[in-house]
Formats: sequence, structure tokens, C-alpha cells
Amino acid sequence: MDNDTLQLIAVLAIVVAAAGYLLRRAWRRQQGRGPACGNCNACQGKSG
Amino acid sequence: MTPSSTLNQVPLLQWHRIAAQGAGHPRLQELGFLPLENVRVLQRSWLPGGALVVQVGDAVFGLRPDEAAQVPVQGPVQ
Amino acid sequence: MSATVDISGLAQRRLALLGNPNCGKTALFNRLTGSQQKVGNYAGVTVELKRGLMKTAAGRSVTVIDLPGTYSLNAGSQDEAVACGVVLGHSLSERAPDLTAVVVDATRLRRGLRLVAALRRLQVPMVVLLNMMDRVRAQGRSVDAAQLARTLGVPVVEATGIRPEGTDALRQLLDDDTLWHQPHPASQTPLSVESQTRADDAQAQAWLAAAGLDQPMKEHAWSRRLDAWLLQPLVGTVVLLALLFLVFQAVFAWAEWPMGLIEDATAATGEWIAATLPEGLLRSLLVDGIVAGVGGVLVFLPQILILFFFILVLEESGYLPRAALLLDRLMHAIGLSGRAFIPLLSSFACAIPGIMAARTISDRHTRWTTVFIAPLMTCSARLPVYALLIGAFIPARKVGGLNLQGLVLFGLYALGILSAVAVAWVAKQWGRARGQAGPLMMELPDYHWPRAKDIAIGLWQRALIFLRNVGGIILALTVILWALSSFPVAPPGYSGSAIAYSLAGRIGHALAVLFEPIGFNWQIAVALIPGLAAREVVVSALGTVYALSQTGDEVGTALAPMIAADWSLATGLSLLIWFVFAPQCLATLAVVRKESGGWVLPVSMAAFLFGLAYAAAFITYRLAAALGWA
Repeated sequence: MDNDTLQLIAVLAIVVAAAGYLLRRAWRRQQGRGPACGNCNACQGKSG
Repeated sequence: MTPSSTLNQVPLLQWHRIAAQGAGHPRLQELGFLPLENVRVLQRSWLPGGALVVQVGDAVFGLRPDEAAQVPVQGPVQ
Repeated sequence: MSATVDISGLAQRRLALLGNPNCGKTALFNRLTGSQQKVGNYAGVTVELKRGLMKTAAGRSVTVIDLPGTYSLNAGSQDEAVACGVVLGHSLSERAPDLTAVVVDATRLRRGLRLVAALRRLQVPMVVLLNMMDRVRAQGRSVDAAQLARTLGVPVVEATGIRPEGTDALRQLLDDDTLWHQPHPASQTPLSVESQTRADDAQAQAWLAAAGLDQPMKEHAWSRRLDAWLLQPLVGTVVLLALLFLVFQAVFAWAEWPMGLIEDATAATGEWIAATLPEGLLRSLLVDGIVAGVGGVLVFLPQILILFFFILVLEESGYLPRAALLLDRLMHAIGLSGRAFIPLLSSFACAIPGIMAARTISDRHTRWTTVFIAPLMTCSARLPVYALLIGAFIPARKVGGLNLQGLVLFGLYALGILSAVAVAWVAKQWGRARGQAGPLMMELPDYHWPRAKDIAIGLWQRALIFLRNVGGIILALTVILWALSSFPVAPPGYSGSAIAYSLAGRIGHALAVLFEPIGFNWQIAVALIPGLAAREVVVSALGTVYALSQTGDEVGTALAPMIAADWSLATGLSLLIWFVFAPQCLATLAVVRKESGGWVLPVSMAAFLFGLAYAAAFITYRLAAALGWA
């Protein structure tokens, strides 16, 4: 496989991984899991 | 028994006791404005209608004048 | 005689835990029973019933019942009715306990003693547990449990749920057999509720006086001295404004050196990759996509941390409630309470905790107004965008001794706040004028020096959140955007830049029509789309788009000079103003939807903010163009 094809495969792999990450995030939010601000402490400390 | 007044009327820095019937607003009771508790006004605002700083027991609160008016007090405590 | 472990609770001794809400009873219950807990319901009501098993010091098993927190035994609320019922033996779900342990918060003695007085009046067998004694000692005071026991006439021991040995005294006490064989309460001629309460109050007062605990703490001298000035309307407001000025100056002045370091590191990384990899798609993804994109956002970490440093210091020092007090009159005039200031201030960091903190606001109208205006109080994700644009378009000059860039940043925050005020005021006119803007009743803790350790931990957490975002969603979106900007690949000999041929380029040019009146070019239009997911992504998106637009070997050129060269001042200003009002990120909208339980509020917020942003950007662009800056 020449350089160009190799690069193409690598790139596609990365892009697909990124897309998968985003889709999973969106799906998790649909399910009602918390927002992905990554800081559960901030909200839990302040609710009700 | 001295005539009763409310927290927003008392002189500055003079300790009083909250009257036996307690504060009007239930939340005030929760915060510690309990019957017979020691209470005094620490600071008044220069602006009319501005918040007061009061000490009740060991805690210090900022109250609006109409909120302080819901705390009946009896005579100064020496 | 050793007791057998009997989970059914029939032969066991039964101890009930009673106390005010928030007296630490739950932690104590957990510490006593460990994993041996069961949760159920009292018959007919939605109050939780918690039962567990504990061992005394001698190893005997005792059933522990955790009763709901209550202020009195007057059966005012469901919780109180249940607790009262169980303790007096009237409950259908639970037999009367053999002994009741009243948990009293030692920092709120009077309130706890009223409950003890009620139990005493009803002749309920009890012991008293003094909780939170560590806080009392931290205040430099003490409560003598033994003396209190003599005054009250019942056993009093210290207990705490936060340390393992905190329950030792109680476990020992429970081995005293005399405690377990006291007569159960006899029924009494009922007094009126009012008489009962007065009797209990008087009893609590008598006990406090007898134990020498009736003296309130002497005032904290420094807090009073500071408050004399900081709460004075004129001086206090000046101090508040001066503090805010200082913060925004620091965000620019202090950040220069660390930002330079990050920029150099990013550029070096990009150059190294470009030198190491042969030309091609992978190199483009890594250099133009990831390094240019993500690096563009990473560089703003120092500024975010500086901003947070000040927020944390203000929080820890105890100053914030004073600011809330100062602002109460102003906020009252627009239909909010000074209490709303603190959730709104949280929005400076991220709107989400602020929106969730608004749950504590009891008045519906005030609560939803607060939620609605929270996104206008600049969230920290806007900061990279502001910093980028200010860095590119506002000269680093001094005006009247103040850094111009810092002044502009302050102006943007001020604009956000003013618009929030305006919206709140309009909401007040529209809403059913209840007159009640929610109570103030703000506790003013003593001032104290913020602990360096706590600040450091807070900053570390913030940095981690930021890096997690960068490494997560920002990275992912940047990769996707790169892909959309690189495919389809332009055929050789194509006259325009390669990116114009790509999918993203075409979308951008199509959208540019919509944004042309406010001065946005197609690159900005493209960058705004992923920016919906996270505001910082606009910076990384611009980084990628511009990196891909470059021809030749100009790798690693920083973004700011590129856009400064490519855009007019009017465009830069227009985009700045757009961001003051722009609709919030999807995560915030999702939270609003969850909190409000419907789509109406989030959709109307987004639409309203979009319209506001467009109008404001339009006015800015046209004004700037008229001034010759286009």
C-alpha cells in the first residue's frame, strides 16, 4: 500500500472514531444522562 | 413587659429577645429566629429601604426591612 | 447474655433517631448501621422509612430507626406527623421505639433543645446526641456534654457520623441497661399547639440559661469593620466595581507569559509533525486539524484559570453574600431578589450550575426569569472567543492607566449583565405582578482568608474540566470539521483554495448569504455551526478553517494575526457582540429542557437569543461601517 492510501486509512479511522464519540454523547444525552460539562460536583453541590 | 416592637425598629447594637410568639415567616424560624432567642441589629443601610444586618444567636443575616418587620421583639436585654 | 442477631426486629431493642433537618442525622445513621440498612415506606404516605442494625460496644444488636427530620412534634407536615407518630407509639407502620436518640446540632442548640423539651414534656425515654461538635470547637467554644446532661436530666454524649470513632460514646452508652427499661409515654391531656410550643420554648430557654449557653457569640470584629464599609451603598458599590475591574485587567495582564509558552509549544508541535510526516491527508489532519484547532483553544487555559481564581477567592472569602446584599435593591427593582445573584454569578463559569442552583428559588416567576437570563451572564466558554477577538482587533494600549483590552472585556461582561437586567425588567412587567420577588434573608458568614489549598484544588478541578472538554468534544468536532473541510478533495488545478471546494466550504458559502448583512464571512459561518455544541469550538474551528485555507508552508501561524489580516474591524466587533447574546450551547439547552420539563422554554430561549444576537451584531456592523471601519 502506498503512502497516500495509508494516510487515507489512518485519517478515516480517526474521523470515524470522532464521529462515534459524538454520536455516543448525543445518545447518552437522549437517555437523560447528565450534560457533558464534566463537572458533576458543580451542580450537585447546589441543587435544592 | 415593655411594649413590643419589631426588629426593624429597635436601636442599633442593642440586644433584644425575640417575642414568645416567634417570627412570622416560617423560613425565618428555620434560619434561627426562634422565640426567646437573642437578636440585635448590627448595621443599617444609609438608603431608605435598604437591607439591615442582624445577628441572631451566633449567625449574621442580611434582611430586608419588611422581613425584619416580621420579627417581634421584647424589651432590651441588659 | 448475648443477643442473637434478629433481623425481624421482634426481640431486638429498638432505638429511634430523631432530629431537625440537616443536623447530620443521616451520616450518623449510616455510620451506625453501615451496610445493614433497609429502606421502605410508612403506610399511606411517601415518607421514607429507614431501618438498620447496629452493634453496641459490648456487641449487642440494636435496631435503629431513622425518622424523618422534623422541627417539632406538632404534626404540621407529613414528615413531622410520621416522626411524632412513631415516637409516641401511634404509628401503624412501626412499633414504638424503646429509646429515642435526639440528634442535636451543637451549633444550633436552641432549635434542638426545643425538640428535646417536647419529648421531655411527653415523657418519651431519650438520650441526646451532640453533633457537629467539631464546628463548635473550630469556633473556639465548647459545649460541656456532662453539664448539659445534668441540666437536662437525660444522658448527653457527643456523636458524629464523619469519623469512625464518632459513634463510640453512643455505643457504650447503649449498654447501660437502665436506659432500656424506662416507662413508655403515658397519654396526656392535650394542650393547644400554641401552649405546647410556648412551653417548649420556655423550657429550652431555661436549659440554655442554666447551662450558661444563653450568651450569643461575640461579634467577629473584622467582619463588622469590613462590613461597615463594604455594605455602605456608595463605598461598597465602588469597591465591587473596582474588584471587577481588577479581575478583567488581570485576565489579560497576567496571562501573557503562560499563553506565550503554550503558543510556542503548539507551533513547535505543528512544525515537528510537518517535518516528520510526508505530505498528505494524515499530515493535514494532524497539523491543520488537530494542532491548529485544539491548540487554538488550549492557549486560553491561563486566562480561564485566572478568572476562576478570582471567582474562587470571592466565594471562599465570604464576600459574595455582601455583593448580593448590595445588589438586592437594584435586583428587586427588576423583579429579582439579591439571592438570585449567586446562581447568576455561577453562570460566569458555566450557565448549567447556575440554572440548577435556581431550583432553590421558591417563586416560580423569579426562578424562570433567572434561568432565562443566566446564559446572558457570560459563561467561561465565551472567554476564548472574546480573548481571541480582542487580541486580534483591540490594540494592547493603555487608556487612562488601564489596559484597553481589559476594559473591552469588562465592557462585554457589563453588556451581558445589562441585557440580562433589561430582560428581567421586561419579564417583570409582563409577568403577573406578584410583588414578591422572593425573600432576601441572606446569611453573612464571617470573612476569612481563603485557604490556599482549597483554591488550588478548585483551580485544578477547573483545569481538568477544561482539558477534558478540549480532549473530548472539541477534539472530536475539530476532526469532523476538518473532514468536512477537506472532502471532497479539490481536483488539481482548481483555482480557489482547496477548502472552498469541500463540503464545509460549500455550506459556508451558502450560509454566508444569511450572515452577510452582519459582516460575517463564510469561514465564520462555518465555524458557528460546531460552535453550537460548545462555544470554545468556534476558536478551534476557525483555527482549522484558516489553516486549511493557507497555501504554502506557513505552518503554525497563530490564528489571531490571520483573522486580523483577513477581517475588517467592523466584522471583528460584530462577531464580538454576536457572542454576547448568542444562543447557548446545546448542553445548556438540554438542561433547561430537563429542568422545565418541556421544549417551550429552551426553544424560545434559543430563538430569542438568536434574534437578539443578530440584531445586536447588525447594529454593531452597520455602525462600525459608517465609522469607516468596514
